[in-house]
Amino acid sequence: MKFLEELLRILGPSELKKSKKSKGFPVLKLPIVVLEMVLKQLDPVERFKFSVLSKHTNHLCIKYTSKGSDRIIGITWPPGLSILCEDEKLVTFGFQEKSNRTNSIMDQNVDSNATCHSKGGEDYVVYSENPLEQAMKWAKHFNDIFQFNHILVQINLSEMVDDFFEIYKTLMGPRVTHLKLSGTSADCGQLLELLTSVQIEVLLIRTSISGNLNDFKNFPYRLPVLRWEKPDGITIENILNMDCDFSDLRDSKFTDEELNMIFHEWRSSGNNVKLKSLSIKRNYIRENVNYDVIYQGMENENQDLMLKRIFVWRNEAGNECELILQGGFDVTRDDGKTLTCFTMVPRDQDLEDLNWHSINFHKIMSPDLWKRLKEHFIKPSKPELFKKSSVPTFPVLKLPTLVVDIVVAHLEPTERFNFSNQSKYTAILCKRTIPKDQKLSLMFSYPPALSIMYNAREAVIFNFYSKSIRTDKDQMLGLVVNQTVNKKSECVFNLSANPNCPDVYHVFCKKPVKEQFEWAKHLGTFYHFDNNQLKVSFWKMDKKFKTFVETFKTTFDSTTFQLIIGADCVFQKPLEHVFDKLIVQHGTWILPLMTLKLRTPRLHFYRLDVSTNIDIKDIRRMNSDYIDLRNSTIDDEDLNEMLVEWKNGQLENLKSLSIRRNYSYDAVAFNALFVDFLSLPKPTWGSARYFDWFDDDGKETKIQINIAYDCVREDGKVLTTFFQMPPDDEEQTWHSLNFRVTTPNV
Amino acid sequence: MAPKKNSAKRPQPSTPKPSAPARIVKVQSSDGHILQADVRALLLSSTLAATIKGYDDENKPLEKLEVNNVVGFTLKLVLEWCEKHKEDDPAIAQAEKDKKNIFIPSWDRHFLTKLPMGNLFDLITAAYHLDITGLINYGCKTVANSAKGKSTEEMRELFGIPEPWEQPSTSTATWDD
Repeated sequence: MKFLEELLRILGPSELKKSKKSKGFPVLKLPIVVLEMVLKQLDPVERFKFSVLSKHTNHLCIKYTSKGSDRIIGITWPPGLSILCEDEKLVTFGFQEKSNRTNSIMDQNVDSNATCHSKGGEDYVVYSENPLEQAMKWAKHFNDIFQFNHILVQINLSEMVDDFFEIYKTLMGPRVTHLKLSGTSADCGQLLELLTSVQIEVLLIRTSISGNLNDFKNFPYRLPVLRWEKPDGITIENILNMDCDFSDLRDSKFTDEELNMIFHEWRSSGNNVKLKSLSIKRNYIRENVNYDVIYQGMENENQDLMLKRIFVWRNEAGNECELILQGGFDVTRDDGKTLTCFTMVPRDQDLEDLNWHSINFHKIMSPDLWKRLKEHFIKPSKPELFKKSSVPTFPVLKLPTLVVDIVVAHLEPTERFNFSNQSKYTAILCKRTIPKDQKLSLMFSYPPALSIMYNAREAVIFNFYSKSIRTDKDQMLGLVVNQTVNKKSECVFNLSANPNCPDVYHVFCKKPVKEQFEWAKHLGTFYHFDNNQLKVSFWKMDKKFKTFVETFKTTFDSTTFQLIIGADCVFQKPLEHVFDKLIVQHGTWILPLMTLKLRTPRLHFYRLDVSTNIDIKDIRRMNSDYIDLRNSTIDDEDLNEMLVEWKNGQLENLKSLSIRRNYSYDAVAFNALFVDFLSLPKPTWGSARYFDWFDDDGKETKIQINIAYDCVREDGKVLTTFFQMPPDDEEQTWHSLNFRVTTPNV
Repeated sequence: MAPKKNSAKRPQPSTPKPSAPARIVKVQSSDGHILQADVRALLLSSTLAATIKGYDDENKPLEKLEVNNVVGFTLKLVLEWCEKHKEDDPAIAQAEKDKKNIFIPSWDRHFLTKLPMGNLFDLITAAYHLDITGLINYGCKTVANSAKGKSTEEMRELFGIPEPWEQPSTSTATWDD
């Protein structure tokens, strides 16, 4: 209560007492300029409540509304409204026929013929004679006070009443930014009629379409954005006549040959003049992918695997976002139009949806698009005045030298590099105080990049680019930093709005590969790296790749390292080249596909981040010391088969196996897992046991196990089974079954 | 030099710096109270800054400033706030004015939220008359925050909006008729 004392000191007790009389805040008596500021600072929910207080407050809200950046109003059938605001607060309104309910009636209303009731929280229900008309009236009211950027209409066409859009158009106008079709099926004719009567920007079809799809001529193939979840009836001819800005066909049935045909037809026919982006997504659980067929005839097209480009993309909701692409095939046809073709697979974090890949055709950026991108995505430079702000300072360099060294030694990797950039002196300080216990790894990536790995995450990233893309550099926002290993190259710090992002530096130089290894040496003077990792994300056996592998070999010939295999397609030849030239001890595969088709030598450690296509037969073939399969779909019966085999004296080489499964699959069925293996599975309690393992960074470690099940076979070998779950502070999304074979010394 | 990621995201509260000796002037409220304030604090008010500049330009001795539209104890609050922020760069407040989400530093949050609403109203009005952008920003944000989580009725009470039957139209009138 220190503050109250201070307040009493300022006001004096008598004044405070006097002022306590008035509890309210007569906001309408504020000067109009101040009132406008208060209104603009109101959160959306409070803004709505304020708008219904009186005619005057409603008028004020409409007058002083500012166009919201991400505000969305959702209109549904049966009549309902949802308002999604920047801070994700949701207000929902249901609209029903008039009832006798009298409790919790709000006094104010948009329409005199309706009563509004609070359902608790931010949920309301409005009773009236005509719920649909009422819903539209409320939608208009909200649109006036919020100025929504997006109006999303979500309907089931087969259940919707006829005059839905007539009423909508009367009150809201003909514009619907997003139309989402839900339900099991929609009629083709009905959809066509709808598309011709309202102006739609984004059409999301989440239902199957019945009827003759050939009726679709201009619509929906001329809409700015079309996303179709099950485009079953769509033909190649439809695709070749498509002229959407962005079309995304999910779960499509096109074969590899047909995809290849689409590409060739586009090149030769001169169609799809306006089409900017086409994405065809397939489910690879059902179908295997043969990239050789898909990309047949494209091998000799222009491609620069070093080139990183930014495309305008559309997120799940159909809104514009940014896509950074490295590589891709650039194909130019006779009329001068260039299309970039690339493959996309799920990202690592898309754990629940890892069963697709997509082939994308994207029209290359025009200067005009760059301009739009700059306006939309590239952050404005910091205003001058913030540079002058009085940030509390701590003159660290004025500390006694010994103390400075301690402070610098405590800096975490990101801050350490940042600090070393301040001056020559700070760089010297960093060099003389290198902590050895931070457990850092240096990851070499191809295409050329370096990452300082700390706690299995990237702390600092350096991307190496050729100077030839210098014009692009000017468009990358960033500050040129002092530090560089080559006077002719330039290092640019990339500002990130997200504090959780690692620091990213772009190095523009003459020879990216050479520069990458020089930087690695340079970073070695600031940091102590426990091990090196190599991540290859682009597999093409060309001169650049060979140079990279050769340079790696000459630099780290005596070092065994972890190989991380990324990218969406890996080819046997370059992979063999890596195994031939370099000593790979651990293999970590982060690609979700094609693993089985590749032949690799025996690895000490094998981890597959996505192992949905790995079965027991593959495990038998792997013949590795440590096998770690993540996102596995192997079931308990299959595992049991393997355990029984082991008990009967087979699987001689099995030493360690970890199978991590998602909770979305069945929990462990002990009866199935242990049948004919352990008759009475009694856990071995007692003192903790330690097993050798590798952490996510590929570093050797030991894991402590308290409860385990042991099975001893005739030759004396013991197979220990134990379970693991994520640490308490992590999301509980997986469990793992672990098997270790040990031979007692006896 | 690579900037630290989180730096300069929000304005930091000012920290005392070694500076020139304070120039103290007297300020008189509308009800005759005479208070003393540092000129640097008064410069946060554009209105007072113009008056002070006028005196300085004409080389007249500045003995007393008269603030005719602010009463004594509100002026005390205003001066207390200005004293705390006298080291601030006025450009920061100016830039914050147009921001969608204004961040209120800890001291100001305590200062403004603990004030009775009546005092807060007087303070914001005084800040408007004296043109103190920073105080207006924080005051307005505090008022907007005070409406958070309130029901319609609670908000009506808080903001002193007349009940429907006190309004010219009936409670069931439509807003757009």
